[in-house]
Amino acid sequence: MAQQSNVAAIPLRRLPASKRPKFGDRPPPGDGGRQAPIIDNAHLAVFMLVAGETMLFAGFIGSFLVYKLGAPFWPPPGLPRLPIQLTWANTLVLLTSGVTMYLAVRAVRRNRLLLMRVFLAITVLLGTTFLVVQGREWVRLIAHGLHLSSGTYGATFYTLIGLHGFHVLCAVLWLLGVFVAAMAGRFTVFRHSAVEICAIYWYFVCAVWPVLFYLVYF
Amino acid sequence: MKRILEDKWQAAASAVALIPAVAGDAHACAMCGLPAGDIATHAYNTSVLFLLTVPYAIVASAVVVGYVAYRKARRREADAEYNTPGPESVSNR
Repeated sequence: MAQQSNVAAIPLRRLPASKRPKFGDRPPPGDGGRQAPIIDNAHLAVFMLVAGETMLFAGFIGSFLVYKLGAPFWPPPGLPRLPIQLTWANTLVLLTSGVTMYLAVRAVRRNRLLLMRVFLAITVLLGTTFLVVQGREWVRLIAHGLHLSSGTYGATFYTLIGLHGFHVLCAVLWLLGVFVAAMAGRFTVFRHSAVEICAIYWYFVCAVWPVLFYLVYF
Repeated sequence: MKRILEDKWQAAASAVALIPAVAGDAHACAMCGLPAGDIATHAYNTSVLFLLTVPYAIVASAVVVGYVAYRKARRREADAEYNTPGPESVSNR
């Protein structure tokens, strides 16, 4: 005879936060009593993706360090300086988007689905703002004479920052997909792994940027 | 026995005497062999050191994530066992 859990008998909103079921919890008894794994496959896959991306960025940063530290003057004379103040503000925008993404995940874990949608929308907006500001910055730098062919300075700047920008673009598109699914009501307190794995990738994109900002802009 | 100890001391003294002779090479970059103080050497050394640290950082992060996930899973199991009613409460329904 299958045993019934008290968690299923009590309404979810009456349970304390620590007792509410989370993603990866033991399935209901009708599922054959199968236990949830310590890390589910989706999370494991995105962790491996992040590890691979970290090595990719490490390779680019390593080559950038060789050029930057090996040059007698950096940036080379005659080339435009990078707009640090504007990029500081843009960094703040991206880090804020990391906070709003965390709040979205926390909201869906607490069964506050409307709040999750709001925070997801804010995250998409902040990510798009970051991309737009970066794009405008690039247009201004190109107008001032900093091209991909402007020696190692231009090449490494556009390659490294462009690689990160491409990742932010991919993350924003992924986030848009998650937001559309959230608006369609696909996520519940029991089923929201898509939000969590998207958040892990977004945290990665946000965490890489301060490192690149410090290395490239200073 | 005394002879062996003397040989060991001689070998150690020779190794110590060799250190100043190879110190310059020891400070140079393992990849390009440029002398110390060269700006390119410094750049390559820093880059190699940075690239060496990243895999260890990734493995350390994976260990931390795995440990935290394991602790969470254990806590969930404990909560589930605590919330599962025994045979008495089932029979009372």
